[in-house]
Amino acid sequence: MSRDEMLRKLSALDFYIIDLHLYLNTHPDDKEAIMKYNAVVKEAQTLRQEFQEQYGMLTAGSVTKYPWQWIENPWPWQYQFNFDLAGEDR
Amino acid sequence: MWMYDKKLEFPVKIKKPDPRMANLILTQYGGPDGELGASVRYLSQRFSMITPEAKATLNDIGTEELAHLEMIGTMVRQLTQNASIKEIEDSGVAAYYVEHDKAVYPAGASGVPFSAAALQSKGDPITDLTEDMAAEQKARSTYEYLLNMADDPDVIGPLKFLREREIVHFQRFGESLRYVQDYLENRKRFSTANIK
Amino acid sequence: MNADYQTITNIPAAGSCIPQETVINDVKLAHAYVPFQKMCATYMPLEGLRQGTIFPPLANLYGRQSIGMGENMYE
Repeated sequence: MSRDEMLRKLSALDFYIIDLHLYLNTHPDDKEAIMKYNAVVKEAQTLRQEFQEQYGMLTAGSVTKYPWQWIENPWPWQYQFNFDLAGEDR
Repeated sequence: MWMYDKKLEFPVKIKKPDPRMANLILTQYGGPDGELGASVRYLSQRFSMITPEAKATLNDIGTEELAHLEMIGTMVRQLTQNASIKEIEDSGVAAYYVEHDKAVYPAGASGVPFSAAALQSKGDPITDLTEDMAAEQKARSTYEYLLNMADDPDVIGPLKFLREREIVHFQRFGESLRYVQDYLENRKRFSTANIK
Repeated sequence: MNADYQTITNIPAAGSCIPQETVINDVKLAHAYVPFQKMCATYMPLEGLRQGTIFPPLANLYGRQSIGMGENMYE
Protein backbone atom coordinates (compact mmCIF):
# COMPACT_ATOMS: atom_id res chain seq x y z
CA MET A 1 0.00 0.00 0.00
CA SER A 2 1.33 3.47 -0.86
CA ARG A 3 1.97 5.97 1.93
CA ASP A 4 -1.00 8.14 0.95
CA GLU A 5 -3.33 5.19 0.63
CA MET A 6 -2.28 3.89 4.03
CA LEU A 7 -2.58 7.31 5.67
CA ARG A 8 -6.03 7.78 4.13
CA LYS A 9 -7.19 4.47 5.53
CA LEU A 10 -5.70 5.15 8.96
CA SER A 11 -7.20 8.67 9.11
CA ALA A 12 -10.61 7.19 8.27
CA LEU A 13 -10.33 4.52 10.98
CA ASP A 14 -9.05 7.04 13.55
CA PHE A 15 -11.92 9.38 12.75
CA TYR A 16 -14.39 6.53 13.12
CA ILE A 17 -12.93 5.94 16.59
CA ILE A 18 -13.13 9.65 17.55
CA ASP A 19 -16.80 9.92 16.58
CA LEU A 20 -17.76 6.65 18.26
CA HIS A 21 -15.75 7.62 21.37
CA LEU A 22 -17.84 10.79 21.78
CA TYR A 23 -21.00 8.73 21.32
CA LEU A 24 -19.89 6.25 23.99
CA ASN A 25 -19.25 9.05 26.50
CA THR A 26 -23.01 9.64 26.59
CA HIS A 27 -24.00 6.01 25.85
CA PRO A 28 -21.64 4.04 28.13
CA ASP A 29 -23.87 0.94 28.17
CA ASP A 30 -24.45 0.53 24.42
CA LYS A 31 -23.02 -2.98 23.93
CA GLU A 32 -23.19 -2.94 20.13
CA ALA A 33 -21.28 0.32 20.04
CA ILE A 34 -18.61 -1.01 22.39
CA MET A 35 -18.13 -4.12 20.25
CA LYS A 36 -17.82 -1.98 17.15
CA TYR A 37 -15.44 0.37 18.94
CA ASN A 38 -13.12 -2.46 20.02
CA ALA A 39 -13.11 -3.99 16.55
CA VAL A 40 -12.16 -0.73 14.81
CA VAL A 41 -9.54 0.13 17.46
CA LYS A 42 -7.80 -3.20 16.83
CA GLU A 43 -7.83 -2.64 13.09
CA ALA A 44 -6.44 0.89 13.49
CA GLN A 45 -3.68 -0.28 15.86
CA THR A 46 -2.45 -2.85 13.35
CA LEU A 47 -2.49 -0.36 10.49
CA ARG A 48 -0.77 2.35 12.57
CA GLN A 49 2.04 -0.02 13.45
CA GLU A 50 2.43 -1.03 9.81
CA PHE A 51 2.51 2.63 8.74
CA GLN A 52 5.11 3.55 11.32
CA GLU A 53 7.37 0.65 10.34
CA GLN A 54 7.31 1.77 6.71
CA TYR A 55 7.00 5.54 6.82
CA GLY A 56 8.21 6.76 10.20
CA MET A 57 6.79 7.98 13.50
CA LEU A 58 3.23 9.20 13.85
CA THR A 59 2.93 9.12 17.62
CA ALA A 60 5.42 10.21 20.25
CA GLY A 61 6.55 7.15 22.20
CA SER A 62 6.74 4.79 19.22
CA VAL A 63 10.00 3.09 18.18
CA THR A 64 12.34 4.86 15.76
CA LYS A 65 14.97 3.86 13.23
CA TYR A 66 18.35 5.63 13.07
CA PRO A 67 18.51 8.60 12.72
CA TRP A 68 15.68 9.96 14.95
CA GLN A 69 12.57 9.86 12.76
CA TRP A 70 10.27 12.25 14.63
CA ILE A 71 11.78 15.36 13.02
CA GLU A 72 11.31 14.13 9.45
CA ASN A 73 9.51 16.39 7.00
CA PRO A 74 6.79 16.87 5.97
CA TRP A 75 4.74 17.99 8.96
CA PRO A 76 0.94 17.70 8.90
CA TRP A 77 0.40 21.39 8.03
CA GLN A 78 2.53 21.09 4.90
CA TYR A 79 0.87 20.51 1.53
CA GLN A 80 3.02 17.45 0.74
CA PHE A 81 2.03 15.69 3.96
CA ASN A 82 -1.64 15.43 3.08
CA PHE A 83 -3.46 12.98 0.84
CA ASP A 84 -6.30 13.21 -1.61
CA LEU A 85 -9.59 12.08 -0.04
CA ALA A 86 -10.82 10.37 -3.19
CA GLY A 87 -10.34 6.63 -2.86
CA GLU A 88 -11.93 3.30 -2.14
CA ASP A 89 -13.69 2.47 1.11
CA ARG A 90 -11.61 -0.60 1.94
CA MET B 1 -1.74 15.45 29.51
CA TRP B 2 -1.67 15.21 25.76
CA MET B 3 0.20 13.22 23.11
CA TYR B 4 0.69 14.58 19.61
CA ASP B 5 -0.48 12.52 16.65
CA LYS B 6 1.55 13.60 13.62
CA LYS B 7 -1.33 13.92 11.18
CA LEU B 8 -4.43 16.08 10.68
CA GLU B 9 -7.90 14.91 11.68
CA PHE B 10 -9.00 15.62 8.08
CA PRO B 11 -6.56 16.29 5.21
CA VAL B 12 -5.90 19.86 4.03
CA LYS B 13 -4.33 20.05 0.57
CA ILE B 14 -4.91 23.46 -1.03
CA LYS B 15 -3.24 24.09 -4.40
CA LYS B 16 -4.36 27.66 -5.17
CA PRO B 17 -3.27 30.63 -3.00
CA ASP B 18 -6.12 32.92 -1.90
CA PRO B 19 -5.04 35.46 0.74
CA ARG B 20 -8.54 36.93 0.96
CA MET B 21 -10.05 33.56 1.90
CA ALA B 22 -7.17 32.92 4.32
CA ASN B 23 -7.96 36.16 6.12
CA LEU B 24 -11.65 35.21 6.43
CA ILE B 25 -10.90 31.68 7.64
CA LEU B 26 -8.54 33.15 10.26
CA THR B 27 -11.65 34.00 12.29
CA GLN B 28 -11.98 30.30 13.14
CA TYR B 29 -8.38 30.34 14.43
CA GLY B 30 -8.47 33.27 16.84
CA GLY B 31 -11.92 34.85 16.41
CA PRO B 32 -14.83 35.04 18.89
CA ASP B 33 -16.45 31.77 17.71
CA GLY B 34 -13.23 30.05 16.69
CA GLU B 35 -11.62 26.75 17.55
CA LEU B 36 -9.12 28.17 20.06
CA GLY B 37 -11.93 29.75 22.05
CA ALA B 38 -13.93 26.54 21.87
CA SER B 39 -11.04 24.46 23.15
CA VAL B 40 -10.17 26.84 26.01
CA ARG B 41 -13.85 27.10 26.96
CA TYR B 42 -14.41 23.33 27.25
CA LEU B 43 -11.06 22.46 28.76
CA SER B 44 -11.54 25.17 31.41
CA GLN B 45 -15.16 24.31 32.20
CA ARG B 46 -14.39 20.61 32.71
CA PHE B 47 -12.68 21.28 36.06
CA SER B 48 -16.00 22.18 37.70
CA MET B 49 -18.25 19.91 35.61
CA ILE B 50 -20.39 17.21 37.27
CA THR B 51 -21.41 13.70 36.11
CA PRO B 52 -18.93 11.31 34.45
CA GLU B 53 -20.65 11.66 31.05
CA ALA B 54 -20.45 15.47 30.93
CA LYS B 55 -16.86 15.59 32.24
CA ALA B 56 -15.70 13.16 29.55
CA THR B 57 -17.59 15.05 26.87
CA LEU B 58 -15.99 18.41 27.76
CA ASN B 59 -12.56 16.82 28.01
CA ASP B 60 -12.75 15.05 24.67
CA ILE B 61 -14.50 17.73 22.62
CA GLY B 62 -12.04 20.29 24.07
CA THR B 63 -9.28 18.02 22.79
CA GLU B 64 -10.85 17.57 19.35
CA GLU B 65 -11.10 21.36 18.99
CA LEU B 66 -7.29 21.50 19.16
CA ALA B 67 -7.20 19.23 16.12
CA HIS B 68 -9.61 21.63 14.41
CA LEU B 69 -7.41 24.59 15.37
CA GLU B 70 -4.55 22.78 13.64
CA MET B 71 -6.66 22.23 10.50
CA ILE B 72 -7.62 25.92 10.38
CA GLY B 73 -4.01 27.06 10.86
CA THR B 74 -3.01 24.69 8.07
CA MET B 75 -5.65 26.16 5.75
CA VAL B 76 -4.55 29.72 6.49
CA ARG B 77 -0.91 28.83 5.89
CA GLN B 78 -1.49 26.93 2.65
CA LEU B 79 -3.73 29.71 1.30
CA THR B 80 -1.05 32.37 1.81
CA GLN B 81 2.28 30.54 1.50
CA ASN B 82 2.72 30.92 -2.26
CA ALA B 83 0.87 34.20 -2.70
CA SER B 84 2.86 37.09 -4.18
CA ILE B 85 3.12 40.51 -2.53
CA LYS B 86 0.95 41.83 -5.36
CA GLU B 87 -1.75 39.22 -4.68
CA ILE B 88 -1.67 40.10 -0.99
CA GLU B 89 -2.02 43.79 -1.73
CA ASP B 90 -4.80 43.24 -4.27
CA SER B 91 -6.83 41.06 -1.92
CA GLY B 92 -6.87 43.76 0.75
CA VAL B 93 -4.98 41.91 3.49
CA ALA B 94 -1.84 44.10 3.48
CA ALA B 95 -2.55 45.24 7.05
CA TYR B 96 -2.22 41.64 8.28
CA TYR B 97 0.91 41.16 6.17
CA VAL B 98 2.81 44.12 7.63
CA GLU B 99 2.20 42.83 11.14
CA HIS B 100 2.62 39.07 10.64
CA ASP B 101 4.09 38.39 7.18
CA LYS B 102 2.55 35.01 6.18
CA ALA B 103 2.60 33.66 9.74
CA VAL B 104 -0.52 32.35 11.47
CA TYR B 105 -1.56 34.63 14.34
CA PRO B 106 -4.60 34.05 16.60
CA ALA B 107 -6.89 36.90 15.60
CA GLY B 108 -10.34 37.24 14.06
CA ALA B 109 -11.09 38.15 10.44
CA SER B 110 -11.30 41.81 11.39
CA GLY B 111 -7.86 41.73 13.05
CA VAL B 112 -8.91 41.70 16.71
CA PRO B 113 -6.45 39.47 18.62
CA PHE B 114 -7.77 36.37 20.40
CA SER B 115 -9.60 37.14 23.62
CA ALA B 116 -11.11 35.01 26.36
CA ALA B 117 -13.77 37.72 26.66
CA ALA B 118 -15.88 35.76 24.17
CA LEU B 119 -16.15 32.72 26.45
CA GLN B 120 -17.25 31.84 29.97
CA SER B 121 -16.51 29.34 32.69
CA LYS B 122 -19.38 29.91 35.06
CA GLY B 123 -19.29 26.97 37.46
CA ASP B 124 -22.99 26.16 37.11
CA PRO B 125 -23.04 22.97 34.99
CA ILE B 126 -26.38 23.79 33.33
CA THR B 127 -25.17 27.28 32.47
CA ASP B 128 -21.87 26.02 31.08
CA LEU B 129 -23.40 23.28 28.93
CA THR B 130 -26.03 25.68 27.60
CA GLU B 131 -23.22 28.06 26.61
CA ASP B 132 -21.41 25.18 24.93
CA MET B 133 -24.44 24.31 22.83
CA ALA B 134 -24.72 27.96 21.78
CA ALA B 135 -21.00 27.99 20.99
CA GLU B 136 -21.39 25.03 18.63
CA GLN B 137 -24.24 26.81 16.83
CA LYS B 138 -22.22 30.03 16.52
CA ALA B 139 -19.35 28.09 15.00
CA ARG B 140 -21.73 26.26 12.65
CA SER B 141 -23.12 29.59 11.43
CA THR B 142 -19.59 30.92 10.90
CA TYR B 143 -18.66 27.87 8.82
CA GLU B 144 -21.79 28.35 6.72
CA TYR B 145 -20.92 32.03 6.10
CA LEU B 146 -17.36 30.98 5.20
CA LEU B 147 -18.71 28.33 2.82
CA ASN B 148 -20.77 31.04 1.14
CA MET B 149 -17.52 32.94 0.51
CA ALA B 150 -15.59 29.92 -0.84
CA ASP B 151 -15.44 28.47 -4.34
CA ASP B 152 -12.35 26.21 -4.26
CA PRO B 153 -13.24 22.53 -3.58
CA ASP B 154 -9.93 22.17 -1.69
CA VAL B 155 -11.22 24.80 0.76
CA ILE B 156 -14.86 23.69 0.79
CA GLY B 157 -14.04 20.08 1.82
CA PRO B 158 -12.39 20.86 5.18
CA LEU B 159 -14.90 23.64 5.93
CA LYS B 160 -17.83 21.25 5.41
CA PHE B 161 -16.15 18.67 7.62
CA LEU B 162 -15.71 21.23 10.41
CA ARG B 163 -19.29 22.46 10.04
CA GLU B 164 -20.56 18.90 10.50
CA ARG B 165 -18.44 18.43 13.64
CA GLU B 166 -20.27 21.39 15.24
CA ILE B 167 -23.57 19.56 14.77
CA VAL B 168 -22.24 16.33 16.28
CA HIS B 169 -20.77 18.23 19.24
CA PHE B 170 -24.09 20.01 19.80
CA GLN B 171 -25.78 16.61 20.04
CA ARG B 172 -23.23 15.34 22.58
CA PHE B 173 -23.47 18.48 24.74
CA GLY B 174 -27.26 18.15 24.58
CA GLU B 175 -27.03 14.56 25.81
CA SER B 176 -24.59 15.62 28.54
CA LEU B 177 -27.07 18.26 29.65
CA ARG B 178 -29.70 15.54 30.04
CA TYR B 179 -27.41 13.65 32.45
CA VAL B 180 -26.75 16.81 34.44
CA GLN B 181 -30.44 17.74 34.59
CA ASP B 182 -31.33 14.24 35.71
CA TYR B 183 -28.60 14.19 38.36
CA LEU B 184 -29.57 17.58 39.81
CA GLU B 185 -33.27 16.65 39.77
CA ASN B 186 -32.65 13.42 41.68
CA ARG B 187 -30.40 15.15 44.19
CA LYS B 188 -33.10 17.72 44.87
CA ARG B 189 -35.69 15.00 45.37
CA PHE B 190 -33.47 13.17 47.85
CA SER B 191 -32.54 16.27 49.83
CA THR B 192 -36.20 17.31 50.08
CA ALA B 193 -36.99 13.83 51.44
CA ASN B 194 -34.25 14.25 54.03
CA ILE B 195 -35.69 17.53 55.27
CA LYS B 196 -39.05 15.89 55.84
CA MET C 1 -30.44 9.85 2.86
CA ASN C 2 -26.87 9.81 1.64
CA ALA C 3 -24.99 7.17 -0.31
CA ASP C 4 -23.09 4.37 1.36
CA TYR C 5 -25.61 3.78 4.11
CA GLN C 6 -23.87 0.66 5.27
CA THR C 7 -22.67 -0.96 8.41
CA ILE C 8 -19.21 -2.28 9.07
CA THR C 9 -20.52 -4.97 11.38
CA ASN C 10 -23.68 -7.03 11.36
CA ILE C 11 -26.04 -4.57 12.98
CA PRO C 12 -29.59 -4.90 11.60
CA ALA C 13 -30.37 -2.76 8.58
CA ALA C 14 -31.81 0.69 9.18
CA GLY C 15 -35.57 0.53 9.46
CA SER C 16 -35.65 -1.97 12.30
CA CYS C 17 -33.68 0.48 14.43
CA ILE C 18 -34.93 3.96 15.34
CA PRO C 19 -31.86 6.20 15.59
CA GLN C 20 -33.11 8.40 18.44
CA GLU C 21 -35.30 8.77 21.52
CA THR C 22 -38.79 9.73 20.32
CA VAL C 23 -40.50 10.57 23.63
CA ILE C 24 -38.96 12.61 26.46
CA ASN C 25 -40.62 12.13 29.85
CA ASP C 26 -40.95 14.55 32.77
CA VAL C 27 -40.18 17.65 30.78
CA LYS C 28 -40.10 20.88 32.76
CA LEU C 29 -40.65 24.46 31.69
CA ALA C 30 -37.56 26.59 31.15
CA HIS C 31 -35.38 23.55 30.50
CA ALA C 32 -33.72 22.58 27.22
CA TYR C 33 -33.85 18.99 25.94
CA VAL C 34 -32.02 17.27 23.12
CA PRO C 35 -33.25 13.76 22.33
CA PHE C 36 -30.74 10.98 22.90
CA GLN C 37 -29.29 9.43 19.79
CA LYS C 38 -29.33 5.66 19.32
CA MET C 39 -26.63 4.16 17.12
CA CYS C 40 -28.04 2.14 14.23
CA ALA C 41 -26.10 1.88 10.96
CA THR C 42 -22.91 3.84 10.42
CA TYR C 43 -21.04 4.96 7.34
CA MET C 44 -17.97 3.07 6.23
CA PRO C 45 -14.86 4.77 7.74
CA LEU C 46 -13.77 6.70 4.64
CA GLU C 47 -17.31 7.87 3.90
CA GLY C 48 -17.61 8.92 7.56
CA LEU C 49 -14.48 11.03 7.24
CA ARG C 50 -15.85 12.67 4.10
CA GLN C 51 -19.19 13.39 5.78
CA GLY C 52 -17.70 14.65 9.05
CA THR C 53 -19.63 12.04 11.05
CA ILE C 54 -20.01 8.25 11.02
CA PHE C 55 -23.72 8.61 11.89
CA PRO C 56 -26.04 9.13 8.87
CA PRO C 57 -28.87 10.65 10.99
CA LEU C 58 -26.50 13.45 12.12
CA ALA C 59 -25.16 14.20 8.63
CA ASN C 60 -26.25 17.38 6.89
CA LEU C 61 -28.65 18.67 9.53
CA TYR C 62 -29.50 22.39 9.57
CA GLY C 63 -28.10 24.17 6.50
CA ARG C 64 -30.74 24.86 3.89
CA GLN C 65 -33.58 25.32 6.34
CA SER C 66 -31.71 27.50 8.77
CA ILE C 67 -32.33 31.21 9.16
CA GLY C 68 -29.54 33.55 8.20
CA MET C 69 -28.30 31.64 5.18
CA GLY C 70 -27.65 33.77 2.14
CA GLU C 71 -28.83 32.81 -1.33
CA ASN C 72 -25.50 31.29 -2.29
CA MET C 73 -25.56 27.93 -0.63
CA TYR C 74 -22.36 25.99 -0.43
CA GLU C 75 -23.67 23.03 -2.36
